[in-house]
Amino acid sequence: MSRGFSSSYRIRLLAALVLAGFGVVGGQLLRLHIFDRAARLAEINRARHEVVIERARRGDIFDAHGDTLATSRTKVALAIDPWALDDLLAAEKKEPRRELLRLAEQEKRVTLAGLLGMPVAALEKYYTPVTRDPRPDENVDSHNLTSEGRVKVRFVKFNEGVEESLYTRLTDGKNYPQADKKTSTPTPPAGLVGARYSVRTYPQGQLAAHVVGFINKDEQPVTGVESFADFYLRGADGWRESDKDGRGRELAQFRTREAPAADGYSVVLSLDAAVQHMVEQELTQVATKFQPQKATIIVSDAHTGFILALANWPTFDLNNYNAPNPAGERALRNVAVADYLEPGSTFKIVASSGALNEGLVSPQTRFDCSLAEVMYNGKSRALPKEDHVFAAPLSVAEIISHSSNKGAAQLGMLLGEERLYGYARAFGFGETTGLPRIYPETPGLLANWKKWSGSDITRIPMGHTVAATPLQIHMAMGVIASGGELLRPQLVREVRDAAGVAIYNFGRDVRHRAISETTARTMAQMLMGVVSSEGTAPDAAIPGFEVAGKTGTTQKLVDGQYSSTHHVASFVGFFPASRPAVVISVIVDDGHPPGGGTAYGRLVAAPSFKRLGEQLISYLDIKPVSASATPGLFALEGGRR
Amino acid sequence: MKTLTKTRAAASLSLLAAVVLIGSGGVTGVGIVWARQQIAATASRAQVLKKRLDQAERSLAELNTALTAEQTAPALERRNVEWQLGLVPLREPQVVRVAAADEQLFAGRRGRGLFTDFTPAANLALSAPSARFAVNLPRR
Repeated sequence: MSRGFSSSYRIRLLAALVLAGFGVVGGQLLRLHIFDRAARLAEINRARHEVVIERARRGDIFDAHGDTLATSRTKVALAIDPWALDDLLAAEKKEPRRELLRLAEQEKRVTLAGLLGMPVAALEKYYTPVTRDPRPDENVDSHNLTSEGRVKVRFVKFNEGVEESLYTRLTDGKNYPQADKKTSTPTPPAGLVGARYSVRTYPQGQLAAHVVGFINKDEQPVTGVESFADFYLRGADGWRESDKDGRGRELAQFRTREAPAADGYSVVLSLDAAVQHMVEQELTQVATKFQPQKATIIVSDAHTGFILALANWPTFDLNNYNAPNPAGERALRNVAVADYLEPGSTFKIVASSGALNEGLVSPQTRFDCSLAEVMYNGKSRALPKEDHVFAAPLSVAEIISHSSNKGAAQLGMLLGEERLYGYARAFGFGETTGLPRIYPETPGLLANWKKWSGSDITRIPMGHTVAATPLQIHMAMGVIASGGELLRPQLVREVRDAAGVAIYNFGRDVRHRAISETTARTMAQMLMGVVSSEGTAPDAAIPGFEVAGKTGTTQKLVDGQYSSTHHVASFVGFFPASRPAVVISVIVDDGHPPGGGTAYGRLVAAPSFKRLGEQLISYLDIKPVSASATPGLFALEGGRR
Repeated sequence: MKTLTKTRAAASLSLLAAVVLIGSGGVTGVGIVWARQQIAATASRAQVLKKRLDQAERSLAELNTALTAEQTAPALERRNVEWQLGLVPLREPQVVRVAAADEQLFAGRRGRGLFTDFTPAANLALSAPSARFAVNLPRR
């Protein structure tokens, strides 16, 4: 160390300046880290910090065989940033190069229009720079402001959504001519912006529209399984906290906290897409031939109550649920559970089952069905009119097969109000069926027996002055098919997690026993008479198979009066009668037979039952129950017993 | 002199310590920066892979939807018409249910062929095979 070094005035000055510098730095550090800490952190957080939401994928809906009925996928809405071209050209200093870029971008737009299949002029329109007034308190970057102080609009949407594959092509620069042929990074047209969004898709279109339901534009489930099973389907969105760079790109290394998205569960329905298709085809035929106001067909498994198909007419396309429909909003209505009608003669199974179950009659017990009135509880009661005159007394089996109103009324009177009401309830009338809430279900109308009028005991047994939904009528017939138990109609078979593992299975659900097994078997045998040549619906018979069923033809109430021209025709049945496999209901409201005349159940509904039955035999491999069929079955099973 | 030497030694030691400190601090700093760089690069790579995975999943969803749409009943019926395949759904009236036991039916059919090789007589052809094959029937 020299003396000059240690005593130099300049050195001292330098030292003082350095110290002062350190002091300033220290002061700034104090200010930034202690005094202004909160404000600075808030600014950094605003500029860099971001919370990214990870959308959970909504689960799929499958039919019983795994065919997709509803699924989720993404689409990309396309937009133009009309200022992007200006920005691109402004960044280029040399005029010739700028001109080259401009021409190249023009060519790219022509290619883009070609890829999208739209006129170039229509696309060019979106490239016209647009501005807007700034909103109050809007903090706009100077880069996004024009010299007049207006905000540059950088997102002008021109396409509602393209498929992922097309978007990949649109954004791949290799598909466009480039200004510089040797460029290492070919770019798509300047200003092309994509906004990805999730869409619910129904690959089967209108198939099972009323069962599957749909998601509206706000991604809210509206009806159907989409609504009922939303809890399982919707999943839980995830999120992550991280930082972003100056261009708004996430800096993955600064991720701090993360909660992964949990995709929704998938729901497997009992519905069979093939059976549903058969049913919908049949409904289309019915609609074409009879021009009804509405119609419903339901097919269910006789043993379990699982619904195999449920369709209404008119219907709608799930992918375009808000598209104009000739039937208007009626098309969205799930008639099978939301509308009620007088069940008519199909209700006769209640009085006859009840009388048999109570041991009051046997199938051979005869009633005089030519009487105009009978005495009941000491008063004379007028019996309902018949379509035919039955001169000879009819047995209970014949009352069923000939659908005698007077006979049914007498069976009802044998039971009495309280027991008839009890059996009607036991068959599921007057209360909702317990079907998963895919649509608001009505319980129908069945007044308590204490409130019945004097004539109700003669009218209710034939299905008048009561009202039921098509599904209630279907499930009531299901009581006989299942051997006397009222089953809960079910649609969901299984809930699976995102990995496809079943986490919940639904099985047969018996609500209660309505009648004994013996009564059910006797009823099934009697109902076979309906499709015999002497019965009301020989057109429903399937050769080689024991078909049991019941027709129904109800006059509709028009302006408070029973109309003679508007009818609800129905046929509800099952087969094979001694080993039921399927229950089928065909209900046609206000059909008009081509040749005119009354739309009887045997004319309008029974043939549909037969056609469907014939297809289901092959598809579901339903075996005829007869002695002759047994050896064949034995051979198919490889001779093992 | 001795004091001066000691002072110099201390200064040298301090200088050495400072150099070591600065050196090790630098190395540590570089190490930290390098590690952070690696973390950033790995995170970026993971992010790129995640994006590719997401893109693949999106493409898969689109493909699955398209496949399902092509396999729906209306689509298959349309193809049936377009390609003139002439396929019709199977219905019960098209099925001939055989009342006889399958074993006897097959045996009869096969035996009839065998027997006609030997005897052209119709009565023998009908009666003989059933007797011949009856012995081959599996025991029940």
